[in-house]
Parts: sequence; structure tokens; C-alpha cells
Amino acid sequence: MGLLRVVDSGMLTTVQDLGRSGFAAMGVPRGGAADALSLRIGNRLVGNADDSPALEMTLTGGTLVFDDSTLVSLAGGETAALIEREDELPRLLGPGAAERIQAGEMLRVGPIKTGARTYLCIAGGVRVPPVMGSASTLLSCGFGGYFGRALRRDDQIEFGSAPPRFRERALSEAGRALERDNLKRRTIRVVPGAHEDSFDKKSIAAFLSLPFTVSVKSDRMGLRLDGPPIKSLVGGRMVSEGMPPGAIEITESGQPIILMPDGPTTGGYPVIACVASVDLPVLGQLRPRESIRFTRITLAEARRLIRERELTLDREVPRP
Amino acid sequence: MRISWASDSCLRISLGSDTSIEAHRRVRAAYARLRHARIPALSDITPAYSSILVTFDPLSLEPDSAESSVTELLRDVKADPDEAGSRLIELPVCYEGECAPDIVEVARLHSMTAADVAVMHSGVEYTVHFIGFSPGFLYMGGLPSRLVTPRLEKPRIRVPAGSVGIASAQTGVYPHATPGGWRLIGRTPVTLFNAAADPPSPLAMGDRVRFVPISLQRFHSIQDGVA
Repeated sequence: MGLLRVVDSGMLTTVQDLGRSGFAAMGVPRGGAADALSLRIGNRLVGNADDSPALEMTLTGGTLVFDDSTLVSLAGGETAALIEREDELPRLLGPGAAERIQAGEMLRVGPIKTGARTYLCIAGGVRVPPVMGSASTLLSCGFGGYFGRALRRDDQIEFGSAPPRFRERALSEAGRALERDNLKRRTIRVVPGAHEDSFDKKSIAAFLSLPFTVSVKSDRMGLRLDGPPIKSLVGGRMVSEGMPPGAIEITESGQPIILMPDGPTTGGYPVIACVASVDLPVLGQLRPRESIRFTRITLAEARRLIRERELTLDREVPRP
Repeated sequence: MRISWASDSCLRISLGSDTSIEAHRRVRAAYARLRHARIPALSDITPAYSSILVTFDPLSLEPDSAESSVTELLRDVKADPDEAGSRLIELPVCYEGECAPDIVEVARLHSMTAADVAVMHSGVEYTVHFIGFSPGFLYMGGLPSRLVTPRLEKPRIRVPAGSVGIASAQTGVYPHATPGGWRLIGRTPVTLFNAAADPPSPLAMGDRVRFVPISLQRFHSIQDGVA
């Protein structure tokens, strides 16, 4: 066990795991890593269980000092990261690699160049008291994670002990390809939404063929998309109902909003489509102003794709 | 009842199409069954006005068997009885001053006084149809028809925690400061969601709620813990 101290928290760094379940009937969103695939890869690289809490760093990275030796990995958004200590040349912490860090060393994670979020996983996990069974930070309500908030300079967080038999390792070529597809995919695969019949053929065709731009007003609750307005036949709101992960709601002004992990559990706008489970992690890597498109697949294809992705993941980055 | 896939991993159970109390009683009965059943790969259940969303873990979901389990489980589900036997919870609400930024406008829209709105809103019992949108947000039915009011044209960026709002035929309470488009006619000093408590929300679907008017002074003293 050790402590890490935040020297620079970057734009937004929070503690996240794979989220909480069983509390939707109290309005509590699932939460958790915006890119759950990268969190799982990073955790496996340091010998952790898939759902170990880690630090989700957004766009600008951050700087941390470790007071004890452990194993760390970065997965997700590509960034230049250096492990520094006095009087020595810095070492590179590559993407998709696990490295030993020594007591007193500083980890400097640079701005993210490809993708929007990178996950710093530490052997043994980041230690925070679980809230409703999860370490995930729900910023909008101020609970979970580190006192319910984003990290700030001089915060000190406990981390667990490294499992002794684990050592430095890196992703295979196929493992890296998995990450690359997740970071670079700009055609998001969707299945029909519950209210597809609230849209005429022309609106659905426009939604599935035209490009949309990720708005700067996007966050962990929702990705707002700018583009041609999509008109629904119901105009505005419907009777509120439960929203699946990755639901794409169309507001009364015709703007699509893709619901993200911290988004509302229920919503009243018609859902034109739902992002396929296999592409939910991609959403967490989209940067403001990036252009995306949607392509429709069947439920059967969506389920085949997620099964295949899991098989690749288990083969290339086996569970510890 | 209609059961369909709302995504590759979520089943949508439709038990009506409106916000009526009858739809709510069907939702409550179906939700109770789902909650106590053991269905493989089920990760969460989201009840709402007239539908329930059942979320599965996409990594372990077997869609055909999940769909038939849910269909079988709910095949003969009836509606719950009325709410006479459910808990009645009294919530103090201040309908004055800064607690009620929209009450004057609501009163004007219905050609009554702000005091009339407060008397009417606190004069009936509501039923918690479900908790949704954000942690602890209570969606309640039973708003007197004379108070039915459309949402604000432009939602607020930030609604203070505890705000009591109305929107069409619904009334609700915002437990956290969030954006919101409901018209705010009062505010409760009571904490309606505590992440550290078990359960985190002191109210549940099916509970009855009565709002008890309090003064601005009383609001502040409860809020400051001088109750």
C-alpha cells in the first residue's frame, strides 16, 4: 500500500471503475469509466481485476508522485508519459504497457493526442471507500470516488499493493489493434432505438448518412452532437422512460444527445437509435469538434461483435 | 404488455402509454416480480411511468433465454392495489420568496393567487410513480388538474437542491442542484438523497406524499439543523 500525491490534476481526473448496478430505480446512473474497454485493458496489464478503480484523465493528462514502489499502466487515449526521478534520465511509460515505478518517482502524463481519456491503472487499484458498491465518482451529485469530486493539486490517494508475481508487460500487436480501433473509430455502430417509429424515413436516412460534430458542451453525462436537425414526428417530449446505455435522444430542436455513463436514468425525448455495446467505449474517446457518423447494424450483429471482441480481449490481454 | 429490445442488451417492457395511476400500478407489480426474480445476466431495472427497462450485462447475456424468462415471469402479472396501504410521508415545503421563483407566474397562468397555488398543491396526496432522471428525483402523480402547467420554455442551468417543481400533470422534487425545466413553486429543506445511507433515497415508488407548507424562516431553521 502506498500514497500518491497529485502535483497537477490536469483538466479533469476522477476515480472510476466499471460503475454501479442495482440502483437505477433510485435514479442512480451506472457511472464508471467512459471507456470501459481501456480501463479493463489497463487493469489486466497490471494484474488487477477488470473492475479495479483507476484514474480517468481527460484531454490534458496530469502529474502524480508515488511514495511507494508499484506497477502502473496507461491505457486508452494516446499520450506521452514520463517517469521521472532526480538526477536520472526519465523513462517512457508507453501506451498499453505496464511499468514498475519506484518510491519518490513522478509520473508525468502529457496531453492526450489521440482520444479523449487515458486510464492510469495501479496494481492493487486506487483505494477509495465504495459508495453503493462502486468507487466511481458521480460528479453531478458529488458522491463516490475521491470525496465525490475531481482530483485537485495536493490530494493524496491510497493505492493497493502490487501482486508479487506481476511484472512489466506490454500489449501484443493484436491487443494494440484493439485499442487503435477503439481510439480511431469514427463510424459508430447503432441498433434501432425504442422510438424509431417516431421518426419518418427521411429523418432516419439523414441520421444514418450525415456527419455530426461532437459539441464542446459534451461531458460524462452526454455527448451533444451538432449537425443537421433531425425532426421527430412527436416534436418534443414523450412519457419519460428508462434509457439504455448509449441511447441517442433527439431534443425538440432536433439535436441528438448520446447518453453517457453519468447521464440520466430516464428521459423523455424520443430515442432514434442506441449505440451498440461494442462501440460504447469509443464514445468515451471522442473529442469535442470531432466528426462522426452512424451506421446501422442488426441486434444479432451487435451481439456477435461484442462476443468476438471479448474473445480477442481474453486472448490478447488475458485476465490475471 | 409488450416486451421488445430497446438496445442490444436492454429489454423494454411496455405496460401502458401514459402517466396514469393505473399504468403505475401495473409497473409496480411487474417491478416487484422482476426485483425478486433471479434472471441470469440481469444488471439493473429502471421502472418509469408506464414502462420498465431491464438492463443486462452484454458480455454474459443470452438474449433468447433472457427474453423468455422475463416474458414467463410477467405473463400473469396484474396491477398492484391502490395506495391506501402504502407509506404516507410528509414533506415540509416553503412556497414563499426565493424558494418559489415561478409561483407568481404559475398563479397568473391559472388566474389565481400564489397563495391559492400553495394551498392547492399542498391540499392533496401524491403518489411517487418512480424515481428517475437523477439520484432521488421523485416523479409524482396526482397534481390537481387546475395546476397543470407546461414546462419552462428555457430550462434553468441550475435548480437549487430541494426545489419542488411542476411540469404538465406531474410534480417532482430535485434532490440535487441540477439543470431543470420544471416550474419551481416551492422548496423542501429535507435531504432526499444521501449516498451514504441505506437506502440512499428515503422514499420509494408507491409511497404517498403530502406537502406541508412552512414559512421561509422555518425553512432556514430546518436547513440549518436548528429544527
